[in-house]
Amino acid sequence: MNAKDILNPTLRLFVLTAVAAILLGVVYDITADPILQRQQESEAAAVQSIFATADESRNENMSDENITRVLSVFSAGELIGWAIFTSPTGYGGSVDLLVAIGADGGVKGLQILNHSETPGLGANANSPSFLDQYQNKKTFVKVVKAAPGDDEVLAITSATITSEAVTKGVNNAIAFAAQNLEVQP
Amino acid sequence: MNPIKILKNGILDENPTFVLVIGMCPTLAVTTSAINGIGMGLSTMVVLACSNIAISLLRNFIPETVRIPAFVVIIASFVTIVQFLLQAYLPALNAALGIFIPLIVVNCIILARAEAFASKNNPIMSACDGIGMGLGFTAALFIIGCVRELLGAGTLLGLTVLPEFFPRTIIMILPPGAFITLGFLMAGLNAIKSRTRLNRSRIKEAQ
Repeated sequence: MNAKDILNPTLRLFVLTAVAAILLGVVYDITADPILQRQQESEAAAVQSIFATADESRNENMSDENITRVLSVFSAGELIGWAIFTSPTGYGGSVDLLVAIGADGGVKGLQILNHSETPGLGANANSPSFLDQYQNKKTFVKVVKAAPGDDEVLAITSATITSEAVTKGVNNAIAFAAQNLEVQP
Repeated sequence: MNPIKILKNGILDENPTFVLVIGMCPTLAVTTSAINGIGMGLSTMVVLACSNIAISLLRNFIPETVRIPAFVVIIASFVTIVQFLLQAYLPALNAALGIFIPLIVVNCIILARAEAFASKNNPIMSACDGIGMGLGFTAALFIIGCVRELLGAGTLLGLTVLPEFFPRTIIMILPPGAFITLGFLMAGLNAIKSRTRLNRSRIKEAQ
């Protein structure tokens, strides 16, 4: 093996990776804005789908180790609740949640904005039959595997980790609202 | 070799799942329902056809000694670009197939076809190979998905088929169910194959 046999593949591999890196950079740059815009659109749509009467939302600039963002939601100038963004860790990575808390501090609804849970198992969390269980919960929620009581939700079959993750997100949001937001019970 | 033969080769003779037994990781992971099988299969097919074309076009530029890293770079960049474009411009398709795309990068069918076919054939043949293998993969995932969904959840493509009193076998939508289904399907296919082979040789003897 002489020097040429080593240099030639090295150079060619370098050219390939350099071209790939440039292409990736260019595509990332072009698509970054549209992707951000899509995310904001889907967020706005999610808020609207829970607070049907909402006509204004304001970024509150609040966050802590669990909560990424808080929006105050208004209808005709009156505060009707908050949209709390939180990203607990599930089975396949973070599960991005929007938890809607009403002015009374109870859960008004929730939406999974983004997740990478197992298709067919954890991904089933994104269904009304599971998510609706959190409706109107005000205190710490627990996950059970049979016969859920008042402050309990039924886990998704064979996706306990995902169920726990979503529940953790909801609990974080309820606790955050009770502590930091002007909840009127 | 003509294109039709290459297509048929991917679907039947060298079916990636049942004959070559490659790409097992996504096969076992996503076949919990029939629709997931179709989604994963078709996304893989598109990426496979395109990556085969790209590798085939570059086959004279890629040095033999570093071909594997070169293939990996091309495939990973390609998949990432597809993901960005889907997220930015086709949100509906992204919502349906987005979760499968990262799984395609780790799918060894793509690397295996780059190595075994695209690096030795022209772009048109390579595209046919990608489509054939992709269709074979889709068909296999769809069949496994149907069996698992039916036995595990009692539904088919999301519609309830089995009556309520029929027991749901949860293990079928868990990872072991994938192995069990795959094992039975492979055994069945091999039985059919050896029987046709036997019949053929008998016919020959009779002549």
